[in-house]
Amino acid sequence: MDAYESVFQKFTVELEQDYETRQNIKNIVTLIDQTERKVNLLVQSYHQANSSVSFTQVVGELQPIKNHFNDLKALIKPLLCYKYRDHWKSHMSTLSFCVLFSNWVDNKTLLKLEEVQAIFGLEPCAPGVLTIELEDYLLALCNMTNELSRYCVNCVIKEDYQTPGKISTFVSDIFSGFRLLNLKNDIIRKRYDSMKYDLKRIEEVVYDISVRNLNKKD
Amino acid sequence: MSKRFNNNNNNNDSDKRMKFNNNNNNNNNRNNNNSKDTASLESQIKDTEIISLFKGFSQKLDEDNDRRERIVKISRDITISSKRLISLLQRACWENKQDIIVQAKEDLDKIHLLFGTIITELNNQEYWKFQRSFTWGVQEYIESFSFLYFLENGTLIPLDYIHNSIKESLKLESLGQFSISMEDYYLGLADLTGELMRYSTNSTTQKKYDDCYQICDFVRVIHSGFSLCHLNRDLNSKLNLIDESLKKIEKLCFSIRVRGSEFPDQIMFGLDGGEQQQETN
Repeated sequence: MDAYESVFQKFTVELEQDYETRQNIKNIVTLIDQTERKVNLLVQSYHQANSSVSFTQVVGELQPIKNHFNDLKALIKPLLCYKYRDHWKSHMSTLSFCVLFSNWVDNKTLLKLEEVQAIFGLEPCAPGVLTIELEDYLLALCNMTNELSRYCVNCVIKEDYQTPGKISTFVSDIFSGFRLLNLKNDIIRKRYDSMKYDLKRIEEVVYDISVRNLNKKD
Repeated sequence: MSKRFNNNNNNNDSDKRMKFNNNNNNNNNRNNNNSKDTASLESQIKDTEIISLFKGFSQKLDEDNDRRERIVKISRDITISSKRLISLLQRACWENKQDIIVQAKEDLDKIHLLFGTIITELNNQEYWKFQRSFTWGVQEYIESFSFLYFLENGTLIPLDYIHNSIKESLKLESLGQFSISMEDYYLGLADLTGELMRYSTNSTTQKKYDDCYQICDFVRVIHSGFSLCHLNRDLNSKLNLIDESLKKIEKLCFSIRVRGSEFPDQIMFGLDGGEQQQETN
């Protein structure tokens, strides 16, 4: 046993380090989660009749997260970034979604991946860099089309008859963009498969408006 | 517009058909919009922007997916070769042990060449991005290599020794970012006990009782070593396997002692009966 003690000692050290790192990551991610929920609530209020939310406000609320990401970066060596990525992966797509959605509603443009990364003070994708990955961005786009299908309905409630048409064009562009991707049998594929129902819902709204000539008013 | 709407409603019955129709609708949709929109030029520009954006995504996704698939394929080859190596080593108790070890080393060299291809597939800092794609192969490899090392030296293989052997086979000064992770190492070692259990059973059939006792001691050391470790989920399930293997080997050694005292130097019929037959098959 003595001869092997050092070997098993090493295992214990490694395992304990791993456990500790994971605990630290979880603590930071909890903080990210708190801010994220606040921002998510803010983004939800876009659906209300007289909302005063703006893109700048959303970005402003997201500022504390920059620090949390810096803490994470300080904690994790570049090599181990992918090992622990599961801990923050889902937050990356939710946060990207908030920014993407809010920006589209305000400016009717699609933020590129690099622009979203810059908002959070993160670097572009590269091996060993803790950042929003392409996968996170694509999932955020899927979330966004889903949310837009809801926003579309609420636009009509607000008597905004112009936006649904724009949403329809935009979402069908995104949808045809996704068709170019060679997706594996993964989460993005699943979300993409449900995108056609979002598109359908939006088209139904546009149909309802145009059949009554509501979008030709004023 | 209305035609499109009906199309969608009628085709709810079949998912596949709906998808197909949706594709068509999309094209219609864009054409309609373009002809109707006063700012048709603007929307066209936007369209190509998104499409070209996605073309870039598609390229990146394909690159990653292709690379992952290639790595998975190599990992599978490593698993198969390692399993073959293990079954070769299992024969060592009734064939010439030295010959088998020599041949095993040759086979091991070939596995190391496969590692060379994995290393070339990984860029800097990408080890953990693809780790899940090759971890099974690596674990199986550790299992076979540690088995070989045990048969040759009767001790536990050090991690450095594995690294050096890979370097030697590949004629590399250093493995760069690649290394066998501690995680794969101990998970592989945990699997080793199962193979040792089989080997000790086979040894008993060849009346190599000393081997059996030696293995029993060795597995007991591994077992107590892992029991001391701070366990995570992966290791916890492996510990149960080690536990079972150890109990089987101890039972075997017990039988050798008890029945051996009754019939010294005689073939011991029915020793651990069913289990033994099953294992040798």
